[in-house]
Amino acid sequence: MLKILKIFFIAFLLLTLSGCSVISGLFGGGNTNLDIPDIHKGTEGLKMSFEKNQPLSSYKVTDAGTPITITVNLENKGTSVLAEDTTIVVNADKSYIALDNDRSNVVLQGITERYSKGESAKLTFTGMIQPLRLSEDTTIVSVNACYRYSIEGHYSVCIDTDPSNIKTQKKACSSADNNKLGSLGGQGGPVGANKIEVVLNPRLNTLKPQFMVYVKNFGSGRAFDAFASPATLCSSGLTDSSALNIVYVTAKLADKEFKCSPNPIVINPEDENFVICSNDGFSVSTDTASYSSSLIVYMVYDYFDSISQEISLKKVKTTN
Amino acid sequence: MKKLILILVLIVLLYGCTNNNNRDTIENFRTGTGGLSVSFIPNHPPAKVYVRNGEVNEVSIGINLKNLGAADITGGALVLSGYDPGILAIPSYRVFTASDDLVGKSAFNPQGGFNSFDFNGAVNLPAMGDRYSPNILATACYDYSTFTELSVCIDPDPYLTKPRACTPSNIASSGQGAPIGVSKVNVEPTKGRTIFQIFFKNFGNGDVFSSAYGSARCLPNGGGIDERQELDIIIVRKVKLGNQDITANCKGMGWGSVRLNNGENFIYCTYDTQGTDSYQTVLSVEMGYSYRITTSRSLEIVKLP
Repeated sequence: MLKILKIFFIAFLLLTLSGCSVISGLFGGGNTNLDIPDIHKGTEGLKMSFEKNQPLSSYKVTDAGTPITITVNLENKGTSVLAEDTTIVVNADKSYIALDNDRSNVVLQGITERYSKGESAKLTFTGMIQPLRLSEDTTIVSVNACYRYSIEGHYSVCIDTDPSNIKTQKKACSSADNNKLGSLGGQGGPVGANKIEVVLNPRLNTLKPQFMVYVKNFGSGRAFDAFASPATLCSSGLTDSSALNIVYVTAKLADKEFKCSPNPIVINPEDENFVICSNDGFSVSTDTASYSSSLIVYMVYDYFDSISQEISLKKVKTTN
Repeated sequence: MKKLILILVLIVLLYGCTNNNNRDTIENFRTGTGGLSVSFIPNHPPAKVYVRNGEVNEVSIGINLKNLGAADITGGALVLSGYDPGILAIPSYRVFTASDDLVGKSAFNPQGGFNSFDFNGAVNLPAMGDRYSPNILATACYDYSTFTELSVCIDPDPYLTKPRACTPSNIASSGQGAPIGVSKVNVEPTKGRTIFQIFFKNFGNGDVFSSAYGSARCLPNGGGIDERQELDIIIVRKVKLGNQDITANCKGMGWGSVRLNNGENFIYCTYDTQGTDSYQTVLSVEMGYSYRITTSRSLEIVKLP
């Protein structure tokens, strides 16, 4: 009898628990949420660093010269893929260091929803430190990276067809919601939009949306015209000032292409730089209820970045 | 054990007694402030919808309509807004008619008419970013009417000192089975004439507008509602005292309409009395209008990598 009562009690307990949201969630009855990260953020592109002790901070240089190994850690921390023409060049004063090979190409995947870290690689360059004339000296080894990068910024924008709040009809969203675009922190690359202003120009019974996209170089490097190849950029492009600070910008509002002007834009690091994106054939009737739409801003540029390290050199005599 | 059985029997008996008390009550359905209730069907769609490239990503938005008032709904429109049609390709409206069974509460249908509508469509993936989070609004515009019956006392000669069947007094009401109704009637008896100050009120959360153009004005292609012309207007179709139509004796209506100010306004109606004996009668007011009610819910569409 006691056994039967126990079984009944356990059955009752299970039935009660199965009604709970915790249990029903486990069995698929509750609300489930997939964790899909927003990758279009951040201000980093290709991150470079020297491998520890490669090069060393100081070398003892013999009369026959001393071997040197320079290893560069590369990590693509942005969203763009680094293609085959991504060029890494080691610069060293040839009178001090003779490198066997001073450049290399690398392909690295960017961060994606599945790979939150992006791809990384190590590049090793070897060479010989030339015999010194002085007993002590210093030199600088620098590594330049030249790569093409593109970013996509995804934003929710409100097309407020009654910005003056004349109508009494409830609105799904309002112009004030667009204020959140007033401060943006990068879209997964060193150059991106730092601010977007949504302008709804009133016409007769219609509104013409325009977007002022402020472009900023968040990184420590320099942007260059994307139509100059990264390989050329790392060789001689730095001398071509006409290609400096040039970024191409395009935009799309839902399924409508928006042209941005000027395109490309020359970004002055000391100033606010913006493009105005508009679509001549697109307007919204003021009879339409206000709605949320999706704005995507694309930017393409070449980027030049550099790291360097000073090396102390000390002459030593070799004993035979 | 006997005690337990006794208690159970008592509970059952008591339960039966309380239910019996209500069983034969004839409910007055012309109470409350309900009209058409609009609500999103829970989990239809879920709060988060996942979409994927290369697939047909269908979305269905379900709306429940329930007539919580006492009048039948014979025409109206249900409009969805708040989303970009370039991203969410779903129909933006649906017209409903008498055949959609949105009848008012009555003895035959104490719950009121109920219907559900699905708005089916698809997500245009290339047009959206990684996420799209619109706030969807469901707006219903419908023609409605309110029929008010209030018991009032008529005293043809209030200055006479003699016993009375009733004494005129002001009446307050909290709704007559519709979002628009009479909130108060001030009764002022004078010799040979009784003056009624009838207050109208928007009891609901929605907007009232003239029914002259029909609720189809809510439709996207209807050009919206010309709010300066039509908003806050109710048509007072008839004011009766007993069987006598006193609409013509009412002031404060332009072409039979009253414009509410901050959701309220009033008219004056007069009734010429005869004799000297006071009596109880029914003041009935019939109103017609279109009503707009909006509800919203957020939706998040997430693109799967």
